[in-house]
Amino acid sequence: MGNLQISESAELEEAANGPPAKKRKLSKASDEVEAQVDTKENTNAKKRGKQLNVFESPAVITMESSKAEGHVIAVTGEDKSIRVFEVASNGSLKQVSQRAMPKRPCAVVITDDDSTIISADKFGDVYALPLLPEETSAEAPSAEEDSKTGSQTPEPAAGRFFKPAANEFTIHSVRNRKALENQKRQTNWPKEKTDPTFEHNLLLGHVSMLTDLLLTTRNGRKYIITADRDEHIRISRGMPQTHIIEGFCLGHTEFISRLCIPAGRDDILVSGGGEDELYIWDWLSGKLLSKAALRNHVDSAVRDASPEAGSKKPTVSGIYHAKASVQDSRDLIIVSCEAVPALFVYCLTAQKTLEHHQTVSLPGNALSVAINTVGGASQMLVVSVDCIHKPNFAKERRDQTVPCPSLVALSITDKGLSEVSPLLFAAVKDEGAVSEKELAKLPNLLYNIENFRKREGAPEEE
Amino acid sequence: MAGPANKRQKREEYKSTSRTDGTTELPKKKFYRQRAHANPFSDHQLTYPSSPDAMNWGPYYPAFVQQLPEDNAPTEPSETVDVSTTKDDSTLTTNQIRKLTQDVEVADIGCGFGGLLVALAPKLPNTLLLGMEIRMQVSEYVQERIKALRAQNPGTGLYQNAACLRANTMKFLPNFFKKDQLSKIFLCFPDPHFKARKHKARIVSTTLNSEYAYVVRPGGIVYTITDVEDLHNWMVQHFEAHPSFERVPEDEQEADECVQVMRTETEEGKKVERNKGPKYVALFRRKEDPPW
Repeated sequence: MGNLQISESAELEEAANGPPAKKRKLSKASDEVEAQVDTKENTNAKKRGKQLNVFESPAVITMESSKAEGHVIAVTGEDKSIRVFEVASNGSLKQVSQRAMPKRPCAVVITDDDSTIISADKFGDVYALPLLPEETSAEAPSAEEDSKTGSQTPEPAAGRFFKPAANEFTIHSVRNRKALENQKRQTNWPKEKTDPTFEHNLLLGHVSMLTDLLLTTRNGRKYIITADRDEHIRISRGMPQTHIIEGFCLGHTEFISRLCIPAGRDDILVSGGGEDELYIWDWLSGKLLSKAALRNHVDSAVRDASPEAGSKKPTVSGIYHAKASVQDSRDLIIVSCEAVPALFVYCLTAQKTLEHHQTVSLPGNALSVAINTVGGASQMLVVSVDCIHKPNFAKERRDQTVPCPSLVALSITDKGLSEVSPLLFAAVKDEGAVSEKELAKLPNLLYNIENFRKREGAPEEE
Repeated sequence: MAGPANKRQKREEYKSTSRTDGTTELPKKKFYRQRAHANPFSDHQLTYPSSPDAMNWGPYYPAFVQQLPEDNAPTEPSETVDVSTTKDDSTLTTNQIRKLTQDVEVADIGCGFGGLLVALAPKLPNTLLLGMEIRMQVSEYVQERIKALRAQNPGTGLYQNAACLRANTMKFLPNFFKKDQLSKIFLCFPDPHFKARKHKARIVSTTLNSEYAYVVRPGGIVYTITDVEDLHNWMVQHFEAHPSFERVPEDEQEADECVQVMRTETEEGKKVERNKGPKYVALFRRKEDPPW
C-alpha cells in the first residue's frame, strides 16, 4: 500500500454507516483503503465474539498506519484501547495487540521508523509505547488481560501500603480531624487503580484535554507538537528530550482541534478549531504569520445546502494537505468542519498565507478524509459522508429512502478537486439494519468536537 | 458564592462600602474566606491573556509602566489595581498595551492570602513579584491588601513591586510568562490532594515540572514548602526525577534569605507554627538545557 494514507478511514466507515463491525460490510471493495477497513472490522467481529456484547460496538475513534507496509493502529473509545493490526498481503487485517491506556487516547501517530506509537490522551498526557508489546504472544490479549511487560513510567514508585498522608499537624479543623480518625480505623481500603503493566513511557503532559499531535523534523531535529482544548500549541523536543519545551504558539482564543504541517513546507503549521479563522504559524519561533477566513465560506456552504440556515461558528474537524503533483508549486490545504456538507480548499501561497480556492459541496456532512499520496503527488481524496443525518445537522435524520453515498471520491488536479465517478463506491451496502438505540448514539460519536467549546456564563464555582 | 444569603449580603456590603473611597485600611479576611480547594481541571470563569505579549501588566504595576515622551503627567504611583480594566485585555491590541520597564521575575503560585508576597516585596524592591491564586475571593483579598499597603506607604514606592491576579497556573502559566522569564517560583503549602486518584491535581508533577522549567531561566530556583511529609517526598521525587532540575544543597538552602521568609511569613506557615507542626523545605535549581 506504499504511502497510502488511511488515517481515520475506519472512523469514516463506521461514521457513514452507523456503528461498525457486524452492521455493514463492503461486498466488493474497489479501493484498497476500504478493503482494509472492511476486513479489519470483520476479523474484529469474529475475534472478539462475546466482547462485542461487553462493549456494545467499540467504535474506532482514530486510526493511523505505519509508514512501511505492515501495520495499522486504531483507537477504540469505549475501552480506551490502542489496537494494532497486521496487514496481510491480501489486504486483510489481523489484530495482534490490544492495550488499554490509562485514559482515552485522542490522537495517535507512529514514529518515522515505525517502532513506536505516540498517543495523546484526554487527560493531557502523551505516552510512547512500542508498536508491538515485547514478548508478545501474537494472540490478541483480552480487554482485561493485557500483555504484561514492565511499566516504565518515569513516575517515582509510591509505597502501596496505606498510611494516611495527613496527620494531626497537617489538619486543623475539627471536622477534618474526625475524618482522619475515621480513616485510621478503616481497614478495607479500596484498591487504587494500578497503572497498565505494558511498557508505556510518559513523554510530556498538558493540564488540558489534548486534541491533536504531530511529529516533525526540522533542521535535523525532531519535535513533538501538541494542541489542547485550552488554546495552547506546545512545541517540545522529540525523543528522548521530550521534557524540554521549546516554545508555544499562542494566540488562539478558542479550543484548537486540528494541526497540519504541509509535507515539504515543514516550517509552516496550520491550526484550526472553534474559531472563525485558520491560523498559519512559523511554529518554531511561535510567530503567527497570518490568519485565513473560514466562517464566511462555511456560512455560504451551509446556506447552499439549506437556504434557511443561520450562521454558525465553525468547528474544524480536519485539516489535510494535498499536492496535485511534485512539480506543482501549489500546496492545497483541505479543511472539513463538523456538520457541514462541504470541503474547503485553500492554496498555501509563497507568502505563507492561505487563499480560498474552492468549496466542494458534498451530499452530506463531511466526516473524515483520506488522501492517497504516492511519491509526493496526491492522486485521490476519499471523503466519508454522513448518510444518516441531514446535511447541516448533527442530529436530525435524513429521509432514508433517498439514497446517499457514504463515500465520495475526488481527484486532485492542478485545478483543485473534482468529483470522480460516484460508482467507485457504489459497492458499499447495508447488511442488516442499525438499531434505533445505536443510531441515537451516533451524533455523540460523530460530532464531539463542538463539545470542546467552553460554555459561556457557566456559574462560578467558589 | 457559597454560604447563607446573609453572609453573602454582608460581604457585598463590606466590599461596596468600606472598600471604596480610598481607604488605607487593610481588608478583613473574614469577608474573603473561601474553601481551601479548587478544581484545577474545571474551566472556571478565568481571564487570561492569549499570550504573554497580550498581557496588560500596567494596572498591576502602575509605578513600573514605561513613560511615553508625550506623557506630561506621570502616572500616580499609588494608582490602584483596577481589576475591571484587566477584563478588557482581549480588546486591547498589542500596541495599546503599555509596557513595563521590567518583566515580572518572581511568581508565587498559589499565593493564598499573600503573606509571602507582602513579606518579600520590601526585601526585593527592584524585582516585580506576582502572586497567582485560583480562588477568586482570596485573590481579591490580596489585591485589596496590596492596594491598602501601597496607600499606607505613599511616596516610598513600597509594595509597588507586588501584585496578585486570579489564575489557574496549571493550565495557563505559559500565557503569562515567556521562556526563561522568571528567576524564582514559590510553591508554598500547596493543596496536598491526599487521595491517589487526585495526584494529577497536585501542583508538582513530572509533566508540570517541564512548564516550570520553561518559564524559569537556567540558574533560577523553585522553592517548595509543605507541612505534609508525604507531599514533600512527592515534590522532591518529582523534581529530582526531572532532568531540568537539581536539588539545592541544604547549606545553600539555609543561606537563602527567601527560605526564612517562606518559613515564617506565609499565612499557612504561621498556622503550622501555631499548631507546632513540621515544615519541610526543598529548593530546586533549573539546569541548563542539554545540547541536541
